[in-house]
Amino acid sequence: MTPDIPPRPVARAVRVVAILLAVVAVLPLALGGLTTSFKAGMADPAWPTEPWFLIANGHKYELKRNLAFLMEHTHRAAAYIAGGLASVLAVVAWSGAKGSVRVLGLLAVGGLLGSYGDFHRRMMAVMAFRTDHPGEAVTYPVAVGLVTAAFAGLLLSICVAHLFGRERGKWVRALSGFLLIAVMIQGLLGGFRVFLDQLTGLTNTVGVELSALHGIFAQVVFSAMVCAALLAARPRPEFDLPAADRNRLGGLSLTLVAATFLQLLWAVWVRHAPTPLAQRLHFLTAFVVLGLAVWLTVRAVSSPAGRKALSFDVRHLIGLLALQILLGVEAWMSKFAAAGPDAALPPEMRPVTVWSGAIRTLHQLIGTAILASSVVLAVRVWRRTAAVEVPTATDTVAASDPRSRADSLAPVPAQA
Amino acid sequence: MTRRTILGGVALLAGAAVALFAFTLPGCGGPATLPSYEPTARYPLRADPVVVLLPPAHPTARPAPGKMDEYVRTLPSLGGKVADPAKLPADQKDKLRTALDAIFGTPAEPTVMGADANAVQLLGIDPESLRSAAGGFKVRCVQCHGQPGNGRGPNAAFIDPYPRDFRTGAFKRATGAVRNGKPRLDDIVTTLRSGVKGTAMPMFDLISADDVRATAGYVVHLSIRGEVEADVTKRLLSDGDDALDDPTAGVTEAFPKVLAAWVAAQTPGDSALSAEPLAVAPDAIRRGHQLFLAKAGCAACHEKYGKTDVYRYDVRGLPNRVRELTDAEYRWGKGPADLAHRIRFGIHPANMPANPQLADAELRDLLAFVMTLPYPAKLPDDVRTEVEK
Repeated sequence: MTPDIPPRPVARAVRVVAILLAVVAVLPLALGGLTTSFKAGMADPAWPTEPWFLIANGHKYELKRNLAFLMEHTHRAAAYIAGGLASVLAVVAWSGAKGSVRVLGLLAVGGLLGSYGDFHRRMMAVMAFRTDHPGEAVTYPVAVGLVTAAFAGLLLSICVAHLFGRERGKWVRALSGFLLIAVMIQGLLGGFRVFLDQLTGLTNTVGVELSALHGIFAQVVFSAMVCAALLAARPRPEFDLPAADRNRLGGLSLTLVAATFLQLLWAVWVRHAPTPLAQRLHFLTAFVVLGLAVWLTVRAVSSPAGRKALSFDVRHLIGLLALQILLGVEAWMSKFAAAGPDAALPPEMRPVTVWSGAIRTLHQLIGTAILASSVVLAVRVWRRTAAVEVPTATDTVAASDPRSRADSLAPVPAQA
Repeated sequence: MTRRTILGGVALLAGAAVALFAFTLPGCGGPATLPSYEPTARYPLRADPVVVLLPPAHPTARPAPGKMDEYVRTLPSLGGKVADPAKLPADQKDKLRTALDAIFGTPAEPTVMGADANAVQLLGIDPESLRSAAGGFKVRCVQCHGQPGNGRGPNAAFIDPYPRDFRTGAFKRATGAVRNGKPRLDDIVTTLRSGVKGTAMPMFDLISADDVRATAGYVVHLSIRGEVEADVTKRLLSDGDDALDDPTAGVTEAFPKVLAAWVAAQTPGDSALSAEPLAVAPDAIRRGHQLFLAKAGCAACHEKYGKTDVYRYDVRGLPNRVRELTDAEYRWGKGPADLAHRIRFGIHPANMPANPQLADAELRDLLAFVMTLPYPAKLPDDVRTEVEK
C-alpha cells in the first residue's frame, strides 16, 4: 500500500456486507410501509413464525386474494434476511478486532444470537399453544428472554468500551453490535405488536402503540445501517472539511438530523392516528426541514472545500426533498380528500386504494431516505480521516490528539 | 451560540418530541377511555346492494379481490335479485337515516333506544357499555369490519376471507336454542377471546372481561342497526306485497322484530353431541363414510372430500369456497363438539344446511369419518382407496 492511500478501517468483506445490509434493508422498509399503508399489520395474527413460513405454507392461502397477508409475511421474510445479514456483519466485523476484544466481541455476538434464537423458538411454541388453547394459562419464556437481554447488554457494553479505544474500525464494529441488537429489538417490536397492541385497543391501560414505535425505530435502524456502510469505506482525506467549514456546518447538520427525525415522528403519528394536531405538526415541520436543508446547502457550497466534499450530498438531499414535497401533497390528498360515500367516513376509516397505498408508502420510503441522507451528511461534516493516515510534519501532534485519530467523529475547536 | 448549546438544544428538542409522541399517541396518562368518534359524526347510510334473492345456480368462481359490491350487482343477471340503496330518493334516505339515528344514536353515542331491560341485559347494549366500547372498536376493529360493521373496512379488499358483515345478522358461531343464525352474546365474547384461526381475526385474550363484553354488545348494536336498515331498504325498493313508502314506519316495524330474534337466540342450545367418548373404530369410520356420501348429503358440496373447488353463495351473495376436509384446518375449532355442532345445526352465514335427520349414533359415525379423513393412514383400506381416488 502506498503511504498516501489510507488503509481501510475494516476488511473489505465487512464493507461489502454492510452495503448489502443497507440495500437489503430497503425491502422490509418498503414492505413494512405497504403493510401500514394497507392496514395489513394484523393480516396474520400468528406470530412468531419460521423465516420460511411463506414458502412452506403459502400454498394454503390464496395469496392473490390475500394481499394483506402476502405483504405482512413478505415483510417478515425480508426482515429475517436483513436480520441474518446484520448477524453476518457483526460476526465479520468483530472477527477483525484484535486480541481479547475480538474474543469478547464474538462471544457476546454468539451468545446473543443463540439465546435470541432459542427465545424465538420457545415463543413460537408458546404462541401456537395460546392459539390452540384459548383461555388457558400460558407460560412465556421469561428466563430465556432475560438471558438474551443480558447478552445484549454485554455486547452493548463491549461496543461502548470499544469506542473509547484507539483501534482502527472501532466505529464500524461498534455499529455492527448496535445494529444486531437494534434489528432484534425491531423484530420484537413488530412481533409483540401483533398481540400486545390489543392492550391499548380496548382498555387504554398500557399506553404504548408498539406498531408506531416499530415504525419509528425502523428509521433509526436504517440510518445506522447506512452509517455503517459509509464508515466501512476507505477514508478519503481529500474530502475532509477544514476545521472552519466543519464548525460552520456542524451544528446545522445535526439540527437537520434532529428536525428530520422529528418530522418522521409526526409522520408516524399521522399514519397511525391522524389527529388534527399530528397533521399540523407534520405540515409545519416540513417547512422547517426544507428551510434547514436549504440553509445547510447554501452554507456548504459557499466554500471551495465544502463544494468539493459535500456538493453531491446536498444536491441529493435537496432532490429527495423536492420529490418528497410532491409525494406529500399526493399522499395528503389521497388520505384526507374524499367524495361519494367515503366522504361520510373519517379518513382513517376509508377503504385504502392501490394508488393511495402506493403513494403513502413511497412518501414514507423517501422520508426514510431523507433521514439517512441527513445523517450521512452530518457524518461527512464531522468525520476526520486525514490526520493519521497521511503522515505530515504535524503527525506527532496529530497522533497524540485523540480527536485526530482515524475515522474520528469528534468536533474540533474553531481555528483562530 | 456555542456548539454545546446547539447540541443541547437539539437533544432537548428530540427528547421532547419523543416524550410528546409517547404520551399523546396512545393516550398514556390521559382519559380512561380511548379517543372515540367525533361527536358530530353519524353512521353512514348503506351504499352497497342488499341481496333479496340468490341466483338459482351455484357460483363457479369468486370475484376479484376488492370487487364485492361489483359482484353482488351482477346477481340479477344470474337470476338473483338485489336492492340498490343508490336508487332510494334523497328524501327517503334522509328519513331513513333520521329514523335509524333516533334508535341507534351516533358512533360516539351509540344507543339501542326502545330495548327493554331484559334485552339490554341479555345483549349488553346499555348506553354506557356501548359508549365505552366505541373507542376500542374504532381503534382495533374498524380497519377490517368498517365503521358501521359492514365488513368493508379500509383493508377489507385485501384480506381473505372477507371480514364478517354484521349487518346480515348471521354469525358462524351461534349456539343458541333458536337456530336463526344470531349468536348468543357469549358466542361473540368467545370469538373475540379466541380469534378465528386461519383468518385475520386476532385473539383479544389480554383484556378485561368487561371490555370484551362491552365490545360484544357494540357488535350486537351494529348488527341490529344494519339488519334493520337492510330490511327497510329492501322494502322501500320492493315492488311486491311487502313494499313500503315510509322509512320511519319501516324502521318502527322492523326494529322490534330484529331485536326479538336476538333476544330469542340468547337461550343456550343443546349440545349436538353427548359427553360419551367418540369411537373411531374402522367400522364407525366406514359407516360415517357412507353417511357422508349418501344420507347426510355432505358429498353434494364437499366434492372429493372438499378437494375440488366448489363454491356456494353465502348470505351476502358472495361465493364461498366449500371447506377442504382433508387438511384438518377448521376455523371454528376441530374438536368433536365443534364439528358436531356444525354438522347438526349447519353454518347459517355460509348457507351450509343443518342435519337434524341424523340420529346421535349416525352423527358419531360421521364425526369419526370426518375427523379421520385428514390422516389417510388411519382410514380403513377400503375407505382410503375411495378417498384417494
